[in-house]
Order: sequence, then C-alpha cells, then structure tokens
Amino acid sequence: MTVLFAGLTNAQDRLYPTARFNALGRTKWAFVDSLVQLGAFRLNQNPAGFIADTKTLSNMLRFVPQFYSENGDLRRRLDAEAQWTSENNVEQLIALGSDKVFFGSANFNYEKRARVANAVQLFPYHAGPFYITDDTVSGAKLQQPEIYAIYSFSLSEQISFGIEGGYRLIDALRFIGSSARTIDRHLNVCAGVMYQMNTVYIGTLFEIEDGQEKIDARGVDVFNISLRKFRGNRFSTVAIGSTLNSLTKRRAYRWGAEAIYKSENSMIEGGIVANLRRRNFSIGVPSSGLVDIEDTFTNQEQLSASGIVRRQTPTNNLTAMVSFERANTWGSLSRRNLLLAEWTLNEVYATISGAQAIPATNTLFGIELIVGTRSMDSSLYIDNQFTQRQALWTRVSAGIEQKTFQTLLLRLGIGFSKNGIDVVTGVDNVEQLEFTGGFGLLFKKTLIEVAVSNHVRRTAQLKRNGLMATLQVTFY
Amino acid sequence: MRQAAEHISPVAFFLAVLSISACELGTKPDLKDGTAQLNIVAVWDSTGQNHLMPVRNAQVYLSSEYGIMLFRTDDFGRAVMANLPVSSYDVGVQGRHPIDPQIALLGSLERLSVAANQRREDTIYVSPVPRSGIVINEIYVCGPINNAFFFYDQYLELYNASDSVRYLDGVMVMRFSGNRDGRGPGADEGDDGDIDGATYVFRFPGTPGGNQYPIQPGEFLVLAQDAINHSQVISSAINLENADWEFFNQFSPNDVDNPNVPNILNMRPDRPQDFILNLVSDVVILSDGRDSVWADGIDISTILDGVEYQPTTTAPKTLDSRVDRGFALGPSQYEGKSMQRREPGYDTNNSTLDFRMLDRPTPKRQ
Repeated sequence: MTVLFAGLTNAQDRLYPTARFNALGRTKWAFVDSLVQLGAFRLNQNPAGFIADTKTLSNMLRFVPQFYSENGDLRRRLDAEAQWTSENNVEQLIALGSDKVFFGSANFNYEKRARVANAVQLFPYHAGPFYITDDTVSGAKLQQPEIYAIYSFSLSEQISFGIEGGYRLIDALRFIGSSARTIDRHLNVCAGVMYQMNTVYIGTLFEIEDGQEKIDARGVDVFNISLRKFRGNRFSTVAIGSTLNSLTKRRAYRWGAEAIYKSENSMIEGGIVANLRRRNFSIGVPSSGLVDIEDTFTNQEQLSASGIVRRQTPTNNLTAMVSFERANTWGSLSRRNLLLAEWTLNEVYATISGAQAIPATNTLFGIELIVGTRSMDSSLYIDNQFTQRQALWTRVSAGIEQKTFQTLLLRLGIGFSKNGIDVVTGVDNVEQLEFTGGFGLLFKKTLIEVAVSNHVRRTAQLKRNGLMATLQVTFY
Repeated sequence: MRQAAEHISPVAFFLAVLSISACELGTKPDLKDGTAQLNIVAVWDSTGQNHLMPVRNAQVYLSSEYGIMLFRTDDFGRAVMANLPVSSYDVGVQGRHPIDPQIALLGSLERLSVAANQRREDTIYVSPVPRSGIVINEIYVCGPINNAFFFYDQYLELYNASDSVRYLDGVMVMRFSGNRDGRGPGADEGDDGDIDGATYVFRFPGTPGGNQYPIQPGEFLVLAQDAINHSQVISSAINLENADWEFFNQFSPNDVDNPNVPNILNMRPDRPQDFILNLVSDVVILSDGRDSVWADGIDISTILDGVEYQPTTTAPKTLDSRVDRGFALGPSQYEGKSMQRREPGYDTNNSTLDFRMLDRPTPKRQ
C-alpha cells in the first residue's frame, strides 16, 4: 500500500500539486509517492536528476483541469477582493530509451479578478517597495498560456545532464478605469549536472529567469487616466494622459547545489540543499529614445538551505527536516542613485512528518507538524518608517486514505496554520483552517482522481474564503 | 565518448551564456533618500524700520514632484521639515496679520533643491498683503463626469478679496493659448513688459474706471460659459442658469444666450467660438482693461490676476512669473472636479500653492 500508492512521476509537482496532495490535507512529506520522494530532481528541481527519478516510470499522459476561487477582506490593499482561476494543464512524460527522458506540459489559465483597487500591475508586490497604481476600482481578466519542458539524459553510469525551460505569457485587461492592458512574459531556463557515487548523488544547477510586464493604460472614451508610481508608501509621482505606458523588468539567477543519500534498500534517505538566488526588478519610464529610462531598481539576494532525513519501511515512514532562509533586499531611485528602502527577512523552520499504513484495513494515515520563526527588519528610508518584527508560525495537517474495492481510493484531510505575522497580508495572528477530500479511481491504464478543498483564513476582524477543485486524469 | 561530447558541447555553451548573463548586477547606493531637511524661518517687518518679527502659526506649503505637503511655523516663526525626499521644492508661507485679519502675511521661495543628508536653512521674508482686489477664485473647466465629450458647463468664479467695493467695468477676461512658436502662452515675448498669446478676449460692459458693475467685498461672482441648466443635458453637469455673468460671442451664429444673465462680450471678430478653456491645461488672465490691444500683448501692469493650470507638477510652465510664479494642479478631463483657492482670495502669486483641487465645483461659495 502506501507509501504504496505511489506511481506518478515527479515532475508534476513542479507547478502542480497533485490531486492526491490536495485531497490529503496538503501534508507535504507524510504521504510518500513520487511527489514527495527524495529524488534527485524533486529535492532541488535539478533537471539533471530527472532521469534518475523517472527511469523506473513508464510513459504517461495527464490532464489536470483545476478551479480555484477566493474572496474576502483579508488581503493586501492592491489585491482583488475576489478572484476565480481556471487552470487547464496537459502533461506528457516520454522515456526516450533507457538514458533519456522528456517531459513537456502545456497549460492555459484563465483568471478573473473582481474589485481590484488601484492595482495596475499584475503582481504589484513583486517589485519591492515600488508599484504602479491608478485611481480606480475595477475588475480584470487574465489569460495565461504556458509551456514547460525538461530534457534529461545520462552521459554515463555516473553523470547526467538536464535542461529545463518554461515560457509564460499573460494577457491581462482591466474592465474599466484605466482600462490597462498588460502583457507579461516570463522565460526561465535551468541547466544542471549530477554525479552519482554509489548511493550518493551530488548535483549543481544554474537557472536564469527573465521577464517583463508592459502596461499600456488608456482612457476609456474621452477620459484621461492617471498612473502613480509609488516610491515607498507615502510618496508617488503622477502622470496624466489619454494613453500612458510603463515597463517593469525582472531578472533572476539561481545557483543551487545538493547532495542526496539513498541507502541500498532505500530504508534511509537524506539530503542537503543550498540555493543562492539573486533577483532584480526595475520600473522604467518611457522616453523618446528606444530604451526606457530606469526609474526604480530593486535587488534581492536570497540564501536558503535545508537538510532532510527520512526513514521508511513498507508500512510507515518518518521524515525530519530543518530549513533556513535569508533574503536581503534593497531598492533605489535610479535617477538620483539614492537608496529608498532596505529590508531583511529571516526564516527558520522545522518539519516532522510521518505516515502509517494499516494493511489489514487498507488504510493509510499521516500527520505533519511544521514550526517556524520569522523575523523581518524593514527600513523604508523615504517614508522614515522603520519596523522590526518577529513571530512564530505553525502548521499542522493530517490526512487519511482508504482503499476499497481494489480500485477506489477515498481521501480526507485537514490543515490548520497560525501565523504570528502574515507577510502576505501584513496583519498579525492569521489563522487558516482547511478541509480537504477526494477520491481516486484506478483502472488498468488509467487513474482518475478528484480533490476538493475549502479553506477559511481569518483574523479577529477579517476573513477570506477559498475553494479549490481538481480533476486529474492520467493515462499510462 | 563521442556521443557524450556531442551532448556536452551544447550544454557547456548554454552554461557559458547563462554565466555571462549573470554578470549584470546592480550596485547599492550609499546615500539614502528621505534624509533631506528644510528649516524655514518666516519673518516680516512689522514697522517698516527693519524690525523683523516671527510669523507665528503660519501655514507652510511645500510643493514638489511628490505633490504638496503642509507644515506650520512655531512661536519663533520656524518650520522644521525633516525626513524629506530629495527634490526641488517651492515653499510658500501664509500667516495672519496679528491685528488686522483682513491682511495676509504672504511670502515664498522657489526651487529650493535639497540633497540627501543635507539640512538647508533659509529665511522667508513675508509681506503684508491686504486682500486687495478681484481674484480668480475658482476655475472649473474639466467638464462633468461623462463620455459624451460634454464640457459646456465651464465657469470661472471671481472674488472680491478687498474690504471695499470694486468695479468690473471694462475688465477683460482672456485665454492665452497662442504664442506657441515663441516661449509659450503668457510669456513676455521680447521682454517688453507684456504677455503674449491671447486667443480669446472677452470684456465686461462699461469702460475701465467706471462704476456701473460693482462686486461687493467678499462677494463671489460666477462667469458661465453658458448660463443654462446643463444638468438637463448631462445629469452630472452643473446648473448655471443663476450665474452672475455669461460669456456670449456676438460673432457666433449659434452661441447660447440666457437673456436673464448679463453678457461678457467677445472682442475678437475673428474668433466665432464661445469662451472655451482647455480642459486640462491653459492660462486665464483678468485685466483691468486699460490695455485692450491684445494683438501686441497685454501690459502686465494692467493685470488683476492670472492663473496657469496644468495636469502634472512636471509640466512646462509658460505664464510670466510676474503674473503667476507657479501653476495650479488641475484634474483630468471629464472628472467633474474644479480648482479653487485654499481660502477665498488667498493669493501669493503662486498658483501651485494657492490652489487646491475640489472633488465637486462650488459655484458662488468657497
């Protein structure tokens, strides 16, 4: 059983939590399947490890339509009051002989946002303290095609290489107000190499991401529109006209390394991972020349490391993990070469997770506890605002899976988390309670899975509700 | 081995390209924004014998690309404005005369640049300015909220800021939007003491110096483009059928005329349009009418008041600084907003500081 209901491929979880994960309380490490095994690819997204992780898998084709909605007051000021997202994903894994593997996916998302106040950028918080707004409240729709592929191959018994790449295009339009049309494109390419010495895998990778968001705002009918470029929370400059545009550029680099140990009988597994990531954001202003003038610039350096160890038997497993992350960010006003803001985020957390199978009743249950501490040190120089915060956060989740009639898998889960500081909404003591459920139907060469979940995120005064439904059909 | 090499070469090339790309890095600046400071002392000569007194509890307006910030002076006439973003600031001071509330104490400094970590100190010498005359108190030009290109409910509001009756006989109301080939509308082309670029020139009846058309102390007068109830056309437009005066172009075959409202008539036969102002950017001039030869410019000494308005703080200014040292920040077109002086008749000769934007026009009142 299990531990034993494993059987899909690793790659889906890169972007896609599987229906099983969604149905079992989103316990990340308890339920061992290909999603959470300590694979060479899974642990750090090193495409060179993909061949090692998938060499025992057969070709497969999977369709994953998914629906997600959320609404309520507990949000940031530039977020939508409500949003609905429809994701439609097609994935295929093709083994190209014994030493090459290809995985490709195509995804189309359609998203509607309702009552978005002021936000013109699709992701207004990506560019650090700087963002662009208008003065209206309106809805927006986003259409997002995306393609993604991995090609991994073995050079020898010990050495493997891999390349991973993805391209995403978002075409977004606000309904009224500035009627801003945004074209956002994002490209990521990652190359990695992995060396295997008996039971140890050592790998390294380098990834580059490049993206830009071009905003073209124009007045509806005869109205002029105004765009504000904020430099911090208090101070902004405003441009008014019948048509205005702006360009945000993003670039990121990641260097990563990992070492993974797997015992001969796979009873004991462990790994350590480290990543150094650097991100740049810049907001430009149009100029009469071909190149926009850079207005503001943000730089972020992020160091993360984690260590994980797992003991597993055919009927149970126990996983322990410790993770650390530190991100230093600064933002500047390029034209005057002045530092506008600087902030640091530190996070340390520990995870303990386990699952037990009861073969007599065909039952599997698991539980997971995560405890972390998060500290923030923010200096908004231009606003003369200095903040230091520290708080604990916890998450506990559990799930149970029951196999009946040899073909039907019933799944239930629950998750609860509490954040002393919610870095997303900026408010304290945010609690989230989530109930999940679903089922899977096993046929000879087909697996049909369904997951539904409902969550409520709240503080003493504010509340936000969410709903997710996933259908997953896999052909082997 | 050969097969391995075939695989390696594109991968190595790709890694090399990525590594080169990674070299583009930003450099963290040493200086921080938000560390500038302006210390202003506002003083005035209360006796005329160089006996300087602090201007207490005066309002201080700080204008820059970031908009307008307000401060107040303390008992020593000081205003400490710390933690400012680096910028170039216009500073205006408005205080009350300690004895006569009809006299304002006004002064300003312009284009004070302040750098990071810099504390700049300066003194503003304010002058007692009696609320001396007729000013343009409110400008409503952008049109009501609509998508039918409707803007015909434009109006100007005049205010008598003095304590005596003033007269509008022969007073001229003008729009300056010409002189585009020169230094712009309202500039003193040729430095001959007049401003150029008058496009619309309308005039109150009577002759300059006459006393048939009074405006009482503290009275507001509305000059309507068309004195009719515009809300019957566009529900969000303004009812101007009770306006005090109406611009009427007698050379136009179809200009609207409310017979119950006296007219301000066109002086340019070559202009068949009504008195229409640009919805977002223009220059409005009120002169006493002694210089009525608009073609060679209007003598600055005859100007009662002049206001330039623009949609952004970074727009180029063209009106001569002797008439208006700044410009009012106006709304976008069809927003239904107006520009009004902060207080009735408040006039430091810098519209950037004197005017504020109103969400709704307030004809005949502050």
